[in-house]
Amino acid sequence: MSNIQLKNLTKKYGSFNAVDSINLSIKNGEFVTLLGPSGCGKTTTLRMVAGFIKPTSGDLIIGGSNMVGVPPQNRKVGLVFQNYALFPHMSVRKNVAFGLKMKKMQQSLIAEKVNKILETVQLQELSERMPSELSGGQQQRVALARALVIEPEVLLLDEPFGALDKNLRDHMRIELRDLQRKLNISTIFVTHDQDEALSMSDRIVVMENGKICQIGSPSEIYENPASVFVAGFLGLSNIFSAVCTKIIRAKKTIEFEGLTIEIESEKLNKSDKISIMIRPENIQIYKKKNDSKKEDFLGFIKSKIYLGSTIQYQVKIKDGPVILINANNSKILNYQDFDTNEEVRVHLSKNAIYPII
Amino acid sequence: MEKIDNNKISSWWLLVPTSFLYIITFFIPLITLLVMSFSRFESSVTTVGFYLDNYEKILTDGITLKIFFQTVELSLMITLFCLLLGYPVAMLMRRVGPKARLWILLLVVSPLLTSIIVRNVAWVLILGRSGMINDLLISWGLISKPLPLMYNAFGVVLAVVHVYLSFMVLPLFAALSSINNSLEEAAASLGAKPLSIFFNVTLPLSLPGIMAGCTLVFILSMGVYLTPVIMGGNFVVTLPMLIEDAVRNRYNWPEASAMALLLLVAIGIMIVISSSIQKWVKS
Repeated sequence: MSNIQLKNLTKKYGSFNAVDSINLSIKNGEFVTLLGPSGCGKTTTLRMVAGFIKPTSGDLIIGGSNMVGVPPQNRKVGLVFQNYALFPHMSVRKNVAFGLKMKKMQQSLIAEKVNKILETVQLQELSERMPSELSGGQQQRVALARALVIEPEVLLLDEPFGALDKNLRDHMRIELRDLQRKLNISTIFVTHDQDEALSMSDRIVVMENGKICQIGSPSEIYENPASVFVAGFLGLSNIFSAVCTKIIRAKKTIEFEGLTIEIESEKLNKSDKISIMIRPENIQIYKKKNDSKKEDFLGFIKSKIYLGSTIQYQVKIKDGPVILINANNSKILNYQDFDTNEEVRVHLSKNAIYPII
Repeated sequence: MEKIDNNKISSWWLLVPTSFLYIITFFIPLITLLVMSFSRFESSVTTVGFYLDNYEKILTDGITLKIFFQTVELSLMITLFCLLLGYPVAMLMRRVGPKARLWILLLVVSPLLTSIIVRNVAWVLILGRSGMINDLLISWGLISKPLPLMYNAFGVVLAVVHVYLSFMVLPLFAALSSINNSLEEAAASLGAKPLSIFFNVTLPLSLPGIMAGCTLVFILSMGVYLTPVIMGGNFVVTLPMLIEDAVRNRYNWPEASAMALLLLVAIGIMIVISSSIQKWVKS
């Protein structure tokens, strides 16, 4: 059963469609990420769910009832803001208790619930501190506790990791996801950070210009992108225009940038103009002196960027394009290092080439 | 480290030009005032010394102290009305777009851009016995006798609030616009109704602006002279009027100085009160 449903949800500003008729249903306890560049409509969508923006048309159903026109205070929604929005004049405890106080809950019950959630986010000892006396990570945990203590039907996260440094961000990501699983709360997470989206989500919704481009699990989105935009937005990719020149049953020959290669695809027809995507980590390069296989291409290293766990090469293929290759820098695998201008052999396997039709 | 310290010291030289101005126009007159207030004034002759005559007279003649408290009361009333009228305006300025904000600001500041005489004459034309309002009300048959709209505390408060509103609105607006909108949104998502949001979030966070605005308006109101003279006629008497009378009609500078110091002390007390309220709220 669907916990949250967005049906043809639309927000127009004049003639501009900030959010253009999107449909999405989120299951109980599911973690869904809205991913896209700034201005794609992801934040507008989130704010419509929270109730701060009134949709131009469409329906928003939370827990079985239509929320369009219901003010934010009457929606069972927990919200964590990018800047956390902690009340600066209230202690941690008072911040967390605020939502319960607004419900006019009994003092003793409030204290009990606040203690329990502070324990969950490991902030019991800091409960009398003011927000300004907390680190970024602690502030975020207070914001999370404050949003969760009211036991909302849905948790909304608006780029909550934006203000944290990288190590803390990685740590909080895991912490938040564990907590979300434990409480089994449906969550909508807005981000423009592909790493966050890939690492945290059950499903990712990629948005562009107010429309949904693709909905799928992280691996589906990464490995089988529905469009060139999605392929380009998530991770690094080599994208080329290609033409199908020959068909022998499922074996299709395609040509791109002067190269000819055979791939397997059911859908492709002769003379189809398509785009192909090749992820940089799916391309192998070898020293030139090793025995050349027939289907390998020759080329040379145009540039080299050292990234720690991987090394990123730009390789100019002879009579072909420049392609991006990520080589594993592990010392225990068959590790090879290449120098700039070194001549190399490039292996493009059939499986590495993904046609975007 | 040493270099930074040197910089700090040399930066104080930036204050030199202003210091001269302040010494000549503020500290020297203040000391003169202090000395003068302890001087004796007898048959139009001022004797410098340490006499408590002036203070004794102020505290015991029964009228000066009464007028002093009237002045404080009037100033508090002006401050309160400025706050009550200014807060909604500042809230509106925070919510509207930059263009509308500019127009509201211009409207609020407009009294300061008109000459004090023009402004008060206009008030007489509007509020006087045969002013616009009374004429209209009588011609419509709503009243038979003109309403007393000026030459009383009402007229004075109205005219002074009109001018000093901007001194309230500007600090309020500054304080309100420093409150992040997401705080109020967070409160709403936590179930707070608009009125709760105002009293739990907006109002406490705008307190620095409230205190700044109130202090400013109170100080200005304690010293306001010309507007009460015109709007109050002889019916509203304030301490600045007594000071003017002592100087101009009786040439009694020592007594005027003592009254001026009384005014200064009252303002000092107000500043102490407002800053301790802020400290108390913070802790």
